Amino acid sequence: MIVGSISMAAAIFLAFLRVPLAFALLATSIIGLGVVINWNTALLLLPMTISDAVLSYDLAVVPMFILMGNVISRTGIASDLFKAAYAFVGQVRGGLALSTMVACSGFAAVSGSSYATAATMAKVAYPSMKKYGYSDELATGTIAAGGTLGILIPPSIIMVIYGILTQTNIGHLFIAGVVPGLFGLALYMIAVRVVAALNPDQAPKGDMTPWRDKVKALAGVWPFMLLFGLIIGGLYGKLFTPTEAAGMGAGISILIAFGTGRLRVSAFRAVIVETIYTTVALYSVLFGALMLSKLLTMSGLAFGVLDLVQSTGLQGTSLIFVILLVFLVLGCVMDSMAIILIFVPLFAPIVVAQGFDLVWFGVIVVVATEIAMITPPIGMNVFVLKAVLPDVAIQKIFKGLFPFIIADIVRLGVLVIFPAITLWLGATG
Amino acid sequence: MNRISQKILWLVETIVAIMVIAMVALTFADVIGRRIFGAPIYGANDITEHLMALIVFAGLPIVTAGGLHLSVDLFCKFLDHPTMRWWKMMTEISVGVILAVVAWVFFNHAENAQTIREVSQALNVPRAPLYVYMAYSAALSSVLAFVAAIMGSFGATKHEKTEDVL
Repeated sequence: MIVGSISMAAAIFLAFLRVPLAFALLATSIIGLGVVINWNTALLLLPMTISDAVLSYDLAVVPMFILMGNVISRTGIASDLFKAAYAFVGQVRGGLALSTMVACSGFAAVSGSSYATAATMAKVAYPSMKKYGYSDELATGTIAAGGTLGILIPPSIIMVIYGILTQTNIGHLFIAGVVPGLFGLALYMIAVRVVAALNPDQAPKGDMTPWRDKVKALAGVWPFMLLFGLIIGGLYGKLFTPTEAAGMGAGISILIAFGTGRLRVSAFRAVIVETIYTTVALYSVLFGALMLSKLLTMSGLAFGVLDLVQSTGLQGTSLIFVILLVFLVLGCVMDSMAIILIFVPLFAPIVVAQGFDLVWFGVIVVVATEIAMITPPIGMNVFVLKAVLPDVAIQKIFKGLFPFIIADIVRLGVLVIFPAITLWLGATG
Repeated sequence: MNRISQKILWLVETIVAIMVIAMVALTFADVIGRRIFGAPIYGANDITEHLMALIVFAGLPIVTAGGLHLSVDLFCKFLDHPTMRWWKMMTEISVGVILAVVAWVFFNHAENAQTIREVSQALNVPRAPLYVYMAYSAALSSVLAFVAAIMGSFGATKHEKTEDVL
């Protein structure tokens, strides 16, 4: 247990010192396993773990969903989603912010990246909001918060990684993410309406769109509807495995992009190369996390922490809240992916021992780490937005995020207290 | 980066890109074949798994050389300071050492696979050559990490000298 603890602390320390996460995890795991078992076994486990992961059909979901997101992002879908949402809700107070929120969740769902969503929507929606007199706080807060929504709505790469680490059904995780994702969107929209009601001058009404234009705008989002319907429908109806859904999604997005003339061959090559680099980086870090997971088990650390938790008398929902508090604090200084890769293997056995569902735990953990993307001091989405909109003070963005952070905390609490919200679509571990 | 290395990079990227397209096309055709025509492609899963291994280990040297691995940028201001260049160099050397270990264990793994005649589930493709490929990829990545460490320090020395002159 001591070796496991030291190795884990060393991995975190090295990661903070910007040693690439994959190598921080690999180095500490190999050394830890060498000390705990023996060097021969540790060095046998290394190629076995890597080859098992890289030759996993389930993990092939990663590059294909990334490719789908990258391709569809280049087709101008963000702008189409924004126009469609605005056509329907633009005329109400705060309508532009509501439209932005809807477009953010849709774009983040297909792109799979909070950062890409924040950066893209800043270009698409921010100029319109400024033109209509929206405050910087509400405009930027909406975009930064909206970027976090898509991570729960399938497909979600972070859910795939969680599924692999905890050996949870990825299809079930995807299905389970739908309702909490949409619930998050609803709460964010309520937050916008509250801000608009309290400060009417900050969120003026937009123009009314005639029905003919509404239908026209809606027709512009058919690629999104098709992909989303195909993936959710295919998974829920058990027509596809997640990897098959990813292959279909990637294939159809390529056909749409070329069929509508929105993607050129040279840009397509760049999209695939970007996909390859992201995939390699994710696989590398996963190799390290899987080795760390083995160390946590073999060193007895996972069981030690379990004993420790049981000795404190903490159990049930209060225990889950403590774990989530740890994730929230970690989220202030670490990226969502890093937190999940390092800490989920440690906490998952405790959650299972307490009789909780790993699918449900996956959803609430992802929500907790995503909150961290918009909270100080790190709040990566805020920094991405600041890079795209250098004239907006970072304090204004954080101030604008306050109502959305409240909404997120409410969502997290509700999801913890009522697991049925997450599991009602029939997804259980 | 000189023209030859740029051309090599372009060639490798293009080959890997073709593999990615092949993997998507294979999965797409397999699902359509199974769901519409009741005729899946035999061994499609096997081929996908091999393509994944080829893609990941073809990209590993490029991602390593380009410094594109995921990292936590919490203390980037402190670590980017010129006085911390030695740490960047140490990091790259450590990455090189770990990748060298990965290469070494994969050469051994390939030998074991050859001995027990390990093959894939559906198509009975021997695994040993694939493990050798992974080993060479890790070895090349290791070399590139060491080169990055040395080149970085050369670059730093040159930069420091320029600052001194100014």
